[in-house]
Amino acid sequence: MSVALALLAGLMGLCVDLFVREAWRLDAWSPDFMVLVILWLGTTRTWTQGAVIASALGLIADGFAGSPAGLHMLHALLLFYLSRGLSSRVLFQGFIGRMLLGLVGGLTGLFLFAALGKLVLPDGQVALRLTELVVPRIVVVVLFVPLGFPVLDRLESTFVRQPERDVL
Amino acid sequence: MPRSSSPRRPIVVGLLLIGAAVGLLIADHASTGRGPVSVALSAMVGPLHRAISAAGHDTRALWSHYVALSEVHEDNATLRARLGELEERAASVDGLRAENQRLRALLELADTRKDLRLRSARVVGRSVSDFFRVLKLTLEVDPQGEDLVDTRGGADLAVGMPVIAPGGVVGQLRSVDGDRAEVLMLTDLRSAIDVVLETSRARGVAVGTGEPDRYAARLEYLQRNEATAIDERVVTSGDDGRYPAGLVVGRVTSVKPQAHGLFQDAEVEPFVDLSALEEVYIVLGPSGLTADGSELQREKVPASAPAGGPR
Repeated sequence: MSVALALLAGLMGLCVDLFVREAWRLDAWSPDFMVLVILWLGTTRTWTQGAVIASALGLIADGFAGSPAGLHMLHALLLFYLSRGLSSRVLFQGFIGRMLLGLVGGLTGLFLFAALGKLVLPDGQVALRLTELVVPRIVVVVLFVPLGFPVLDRLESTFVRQPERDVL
Repeated sequence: MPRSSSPRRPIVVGLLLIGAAVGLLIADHASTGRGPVSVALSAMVGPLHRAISAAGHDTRALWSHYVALSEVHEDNATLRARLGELEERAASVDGLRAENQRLRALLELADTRKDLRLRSARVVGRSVSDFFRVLKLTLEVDPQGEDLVDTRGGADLAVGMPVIAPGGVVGQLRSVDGDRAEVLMLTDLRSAIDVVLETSRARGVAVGTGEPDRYAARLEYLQRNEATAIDERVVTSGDDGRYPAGLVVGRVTSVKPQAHGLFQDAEVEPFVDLSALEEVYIVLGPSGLTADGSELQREKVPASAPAGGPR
């Protein structure tokens, strides 16, 4: 159930992303819900479970993006590992903490994608696109991570049955 | 924070997934065109993609047509202002066109009445009285002269001079004061013009009715036995020594014999729209030419003929 919810949340994120892009043509300022969900997975899921979900979402994102199969998958996987590795050492709590995670995740995710994009895209285009995206994407991710995480947490607590615990 | 149960499992899974992703990339890169996995993925998410895109497109249309109307309001305001400006300009053009037509008609009148010395004047006001029908003129413009501004003032004008317009008689000068003059309209109670009916040749005197709500004159001294027809034109006879003969006054609108007496009652409606007059001509006197501009044919007296002989 937890995996299904995460996949569904990721899929919803992709759909919202697509809808917002189509409806308001925000382009670079469009909120990257995929990155949001991947970063959230890193703070809430195990290595294995999170990696599988991130890969699946990345693959679906490839389908939506029309990019070469595996590109978004690899990007999502690496971003998940980054988020998971960071959150296993640093506790990103509160608004500021999550903003910090958003900053690191957004920036790294963007440069990671640019690095991967160089495999399939001409160098000049990647650099140009990176220049256009860097500020809006960082701003958007930094703002949306602290806002989106509580929503995803709430969804999970609502739909996923928590194991019973004895409370002393 | 949840932890994996086996320490090696995540590494193995991670390596497998990374390997799969890299493998997919390589396979896609190696294939000509799009790889089979890319094609399959696109086909899988295609319906959802299309549905969301359509929803986004509809939302965009809804937004741009109904919600984001601030620009439309601005455009609307700009266009309204522009429309007002253009309407003002169109009104100005219409005014100029109407003035042009009036002046053209005035010039045509001057062309057709070359037997008269005419002087143009512009109507600047009308009497604000229930009893008197007076026009106020300014004598600045003279389209017949070389200069538009006439410097003669009212020096060559005299009280009683006929005033005409392209439609016919307007009235006579009532007073002259510098470059200002007043016209006693033919519909004023004090106006009397000696007239003749064009077809029946019946004679009478057109006296203004002075009515405040319409412009009309009644025919007095119209013989009872004259066959007067409705719509018959009424022209000046020239017998009063004031109005030249042949100037159109108006048309007969009603004829009614008096119950007793020698005359019949008739009413004349002026041809000139006295309520909308803008320019008029003042008749200064005969020009010494015929109406078409040729010299008057003087009767030649043979040199051998005795003076004072029959004409």
